[in-house]
Amino acid sequence: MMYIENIFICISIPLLLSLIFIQGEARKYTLFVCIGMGICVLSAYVSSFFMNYYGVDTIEASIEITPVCEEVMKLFPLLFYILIFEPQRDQIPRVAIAISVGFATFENVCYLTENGAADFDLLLIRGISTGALHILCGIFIGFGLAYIFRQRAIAITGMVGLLGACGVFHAIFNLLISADGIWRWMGYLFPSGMIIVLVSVWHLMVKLNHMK
Amino acid sequence: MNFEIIDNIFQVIVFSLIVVADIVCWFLHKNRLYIILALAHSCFMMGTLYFVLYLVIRGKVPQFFYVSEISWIASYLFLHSYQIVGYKGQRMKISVIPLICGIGVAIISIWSGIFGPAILSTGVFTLAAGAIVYISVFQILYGDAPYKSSICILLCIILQVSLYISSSFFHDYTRFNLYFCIDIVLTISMAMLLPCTFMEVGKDDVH
Repeated sequence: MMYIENIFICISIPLLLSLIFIQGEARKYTLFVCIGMGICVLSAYVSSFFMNYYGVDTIEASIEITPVCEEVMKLFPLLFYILIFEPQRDQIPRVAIAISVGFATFENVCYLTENGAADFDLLLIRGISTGALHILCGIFIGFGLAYIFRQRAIAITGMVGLLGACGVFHAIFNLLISADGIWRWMGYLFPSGMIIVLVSVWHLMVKLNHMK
Repeated sequence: MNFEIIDNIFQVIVFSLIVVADIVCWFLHKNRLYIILALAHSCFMMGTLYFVLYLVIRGKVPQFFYVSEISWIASYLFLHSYQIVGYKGQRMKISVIPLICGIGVAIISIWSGIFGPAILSTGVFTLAAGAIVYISVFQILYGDAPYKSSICILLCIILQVSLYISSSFFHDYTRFNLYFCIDIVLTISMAMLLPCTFMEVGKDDVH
């Protein structure tokens, strides 16, 4: 039995207390990291509900149910922020990434609690791969929403589309790491690889734009 | 080798290449249509990739929660967004023939039980397919702009619905049959959207 609510309270209270004393962007970032952690707790409940509803085992659930639940849950606070506070477009990706960071951090904390912290290699790989995956999904949904909310007519179709894309991307990762051998290694490496490709392409585009 | 795997690998390769081409076109033309098209193609590719990986790694098709379907529906939602962005500024009104076609496709989608007991997925696909068919038929019949992409999108929807219907009649996916024929034509039709867009969008036409 893992008491994730207790872990959440223990980790989030110092962060929430710090909000009293910090201002500006740092405050917003810390708040959304905490929200990301809270969303991780809630999505664990939702995934468990569906797992019991369909009567599937943990591996099957992590491949077919959890990715979709997690991506849907992560979207809610971001959507709330966009619709209620109507932020500037450049603020949206930052918030999406902060939520993802909180989510990935708390997921890793739960993993540590369940499996211990003795195996350094495994924890390093897990930190890099799942961290990169959640951040990649955050980048994708953050920039995507910032892009589609420019034109209200495509807001709903675009948003559901982005959610579907993130869900299947996450599911492919979970599917790969659930396998053995080369598939598992591909799963561990491809989110980090994609971040490197993304950053390289971004720099290349900026360079080419300057040359024009 | 199982023909289902060959067909899906073909689809993944074609869509991967098309996504790269979409991104290159977007970079060269700075037109939002290309990036939406890239999203539509990449969603289709990821849905198929998930399916084929599941088949290869676990040796069976997904049983409980069909993640691939969500990705394919997302692809059609992006196609709908493509239409909205592409035909922005053109007047749309209620017309009988497009309406009949749209409702017809929606009814067929519901009647054929495309996603089985998954009511939400069926509902979203039905709405998206109906709306896409309506706009496409409207553009073909009454639109001022070129309509090659509309024909392509309409063909994709018809083929997708036909694919779902044909899956009820074929149960052996190890050999080539009509199901795979439709799937390959669907892949090519989806890929053809890029050249159609390229022909329709001018270099200075920035959305």
